[in-house]
Amino acid sequence: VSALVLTLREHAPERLDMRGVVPDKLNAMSPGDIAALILPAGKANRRLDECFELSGDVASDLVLSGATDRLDYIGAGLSSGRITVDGGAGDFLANDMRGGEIHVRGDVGAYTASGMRAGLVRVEGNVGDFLGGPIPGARHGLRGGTVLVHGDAGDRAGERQRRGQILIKGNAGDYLGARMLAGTIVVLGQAGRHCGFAMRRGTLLLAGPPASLPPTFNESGRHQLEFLKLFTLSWRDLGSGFTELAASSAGVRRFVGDRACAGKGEVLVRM
Amino acid sequence: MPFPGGVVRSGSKVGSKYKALIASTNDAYCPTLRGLTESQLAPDIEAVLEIVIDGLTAEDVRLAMRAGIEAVCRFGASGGVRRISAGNYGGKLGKFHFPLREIMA
Repeated sequence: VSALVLTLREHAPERLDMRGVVPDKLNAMSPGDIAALILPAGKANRRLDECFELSGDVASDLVLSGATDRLDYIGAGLSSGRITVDGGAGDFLANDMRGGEIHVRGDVGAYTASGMRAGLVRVEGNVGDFLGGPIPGARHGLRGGTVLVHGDAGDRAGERQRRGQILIKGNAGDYLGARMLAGTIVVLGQAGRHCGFAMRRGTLLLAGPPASLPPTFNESGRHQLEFLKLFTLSWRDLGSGFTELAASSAGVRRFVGDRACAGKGEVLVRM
Repeated sequence: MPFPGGVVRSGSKVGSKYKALIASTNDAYCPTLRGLTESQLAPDIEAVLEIVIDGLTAEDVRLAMRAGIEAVCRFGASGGVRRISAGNYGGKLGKFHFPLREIMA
């Protein structure tokens, strides 16, 4: 009994749409049916076993080996089970994910965890723009669950985020938490310009001052927030330095905004 | 009202922006809301404690306030005490007034 491993046969000439290749769906299928799954590849459709070599049998533990940034929608709609991506991933990773776990060993493209509602996404490399952001036309970005990024995030991470938490160990690009509705974003590295632009509610917790805050944010004092100690404790199983955020006895500076709209959001900057 | 030990962190004011609510956070004296409202707090103030005193007679309340203020002042400025004030919320809390300078005289 071993995990179901899909090994990419060759560098995909077209982008491959991996929707439907998720443990909870593969579990109910015979090996023959899995091999015959159709993956849209540009204008063509390709069978799964044309693109991947299959081995192993436990579909609730799926491994994508030799994965590259040509594979879009990995783990889209996942509701249970675990996907390990040995390599990089393309755009729309964990799109509309409902539960379970995705672990990516490499870098990931744009729109990661867009519309995700629950579960855990862990990326060891960097992620592109719109991490937890809305796909064009969508009202919300991330809607729940936890996204942990060991590397850097691109621009507009957490745009239109509605709930859930994004933990970024590296740096974040410009417009972090732009138009955010609620939820939490934590950045241990440097956050870029226009941080929290037009955010309505929600919390940005930063280990240091961002490159710039919009002028419509007001300073709201220095605080020792007991809540932060409890909150950071909740991340202790994730490792990677987030629990030390509240260990500093200096407390945080609190900025409230964006007063250009509802203005109930906050940016907490560790001192 | 259930204020444990009579000390209220995040004190309240009479009235609210919502009709049905008789009391709400005293935003002018709330350290975390100072970026959002007309704050009465100096920048160096990090916490405001409201101490509630209920008494049967005005004299009891006066004595309790004096005892309380003396106790707080023993911490001194080096203990972090910056300011002591009292309010009647423009008369919305009743006819009684307890001017602190008279109590401490």
